[in-house]
Amino acid sequence: MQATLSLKEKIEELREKIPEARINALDELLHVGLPARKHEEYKYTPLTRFYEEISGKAGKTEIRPDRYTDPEFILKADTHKLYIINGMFDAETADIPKGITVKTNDTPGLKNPKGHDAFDLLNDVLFTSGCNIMVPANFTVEKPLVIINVIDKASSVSESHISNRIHMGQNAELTIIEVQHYIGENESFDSSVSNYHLEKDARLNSYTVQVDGNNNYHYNSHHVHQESGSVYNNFTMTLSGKMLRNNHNVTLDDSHCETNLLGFYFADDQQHIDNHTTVDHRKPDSNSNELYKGILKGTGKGVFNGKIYVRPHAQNTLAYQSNKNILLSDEATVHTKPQLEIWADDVKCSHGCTAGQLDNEALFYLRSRGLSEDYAKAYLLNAFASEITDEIKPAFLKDYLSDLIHHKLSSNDR
Amino acid sequence: MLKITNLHASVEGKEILKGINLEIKAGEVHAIMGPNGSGKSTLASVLAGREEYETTKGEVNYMGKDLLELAAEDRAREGVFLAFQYPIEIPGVSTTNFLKTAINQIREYRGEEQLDAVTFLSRMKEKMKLVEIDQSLLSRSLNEGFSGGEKKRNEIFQMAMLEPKLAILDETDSGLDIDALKIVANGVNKLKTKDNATIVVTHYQRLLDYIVPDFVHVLYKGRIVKSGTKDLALELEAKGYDWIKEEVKETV
Repeated sequence: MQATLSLKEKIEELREKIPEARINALDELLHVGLPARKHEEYKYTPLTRFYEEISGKAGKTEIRPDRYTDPEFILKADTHKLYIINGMFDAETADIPKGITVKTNDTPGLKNPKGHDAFDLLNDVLFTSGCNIMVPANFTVEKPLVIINVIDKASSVSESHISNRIHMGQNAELTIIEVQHYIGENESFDSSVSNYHLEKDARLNSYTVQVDGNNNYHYNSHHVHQESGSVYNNFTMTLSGKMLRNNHNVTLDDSHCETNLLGFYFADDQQHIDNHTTVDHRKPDSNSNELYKGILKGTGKGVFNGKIYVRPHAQNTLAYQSNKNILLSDEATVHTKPQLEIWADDVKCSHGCTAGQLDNEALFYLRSRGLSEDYAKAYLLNAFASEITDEIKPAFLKDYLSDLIHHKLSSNDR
Repeated sequence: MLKITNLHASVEGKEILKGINLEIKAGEVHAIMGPNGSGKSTLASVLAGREEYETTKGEVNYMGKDLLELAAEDRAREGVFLAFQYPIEIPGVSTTNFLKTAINQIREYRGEEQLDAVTFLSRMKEKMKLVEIDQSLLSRSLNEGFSGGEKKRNEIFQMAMLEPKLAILDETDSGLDIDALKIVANGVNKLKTKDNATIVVTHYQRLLDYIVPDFVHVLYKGRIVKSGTKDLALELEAKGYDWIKEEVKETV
């Protein structure tokens, strides 16, 4: 395996250059290697191949903040903004809400690298910066905080790795919107790893917005740690990109935690969107709720894998999971797999997944009222998406994303 | 208005309609009765344009047009309306919302002006009274969590909004208690004019106490085997369908 060897060499070279704290991840990465084609967690998503390909071609991109403009929906919205440009947190332009701390993140994410996704390890070794956000106890940030991850690949193939941290003090509240923003047509590979810690009764609403770029390969990983009474809400929306892998791992490490994971993905020709989630109930009396919906069109591919663990002590857990897919063509595919492992005996858990075409009965019903077939289809698909988009709280984001979906649905032949 | 000539239709290769002949004029109400499996709902579906049914022979002339050539939405735009036997639930789509789009697509087809929001709403208010349906129900997801009666009243409400020339009520009485039945029948009667026609498909005579038909046809094994006035419905109620089946046997 020539490619792997060269990666090995590249990683090994870094040994002398990176801080001590990252050596564990480096050793572990050298030990396990990036996931091969038959790796259980990556059998549908050959991200390794594309990483190696792009990494070999990536040039040094100069950082030119003057070259990008905000995506329009952010320009108009009343928010705080932080920029990360080609892997570097831009502290100068950062609009930091009063009362909270935002610093450049240089703390590696992994205390113990064992058992982690190899791309997490890769990120831990290679990440260049990111933001480190601390919200003090009992503090509520009123306006959403937008983190714009700018990948400028206009002048060359690009590779970048960032890592963000958020620490929520007791009873603190924050809404963050993470936006992937790509400039230029070259290929790129970028990874983004986020570590969130929620102390008692903290509330974090996070939106992961992947609606920009083509020709980009993206690895995204969230590790969320919840203490008692905390509430974590995430909404992941994926419309653009060539191949994306999202790992969302939430640990409910105390009682009365609440976790809501919502996802919507829409893969068109040549797009590949993979969502892996893990919800780990470790203590009693917590709730988790998960709903991911996808539309696959043309040769679009979707992957969903949802793990729920209910540990022996986690009695009285409520855990729900659902993944629903609509396939709009014969060539579109989805691989969906719920994986529940339950050791406690007094719990309520359910899961379900569906993959099918648009309901012909529903189509006929609408047509029999005078709606054209195209309208009827768009109606049903928008309705399918609205179960998710209706839950988006910031109005500007909800309107923007609903419009984008609508646009993508009506962009060409259905 | 509608002339069906020697209509044959099959689903998944199985012939269900085996030569239907029927003529309906404006201002008339026709009841189609018959035992289960006789092809009543198939006839309703074929007329409304459901695609799983293949018409293998025969003609349907609707106001000078070949109805079978028209797509389901164009039939609706030409004034055909089907009240579903099992109105389906569509999460995320409200009656108000899709009906507004439907009406405007119909108007566009007919070369008419779009309906403005105020006119739409006032028409809605008027028609809601007709079937005693509440506005909150109409802004909810279509039929989701509706009772059987609410679903059927919603069908008639949509019929009232779309003002069809030819309304086909497919077993609209099934699953209704007597109060709901009266409301639905009352709605249908009030919508009746000298210019439109109604086909009432039903298994039981019960509905015909409230929607009085001009003609009653008995469908059996894919053919209309007997036609008459409303007295025929009463006879069927009293004697069941067996004597019809016997008669058919004798003539074969």
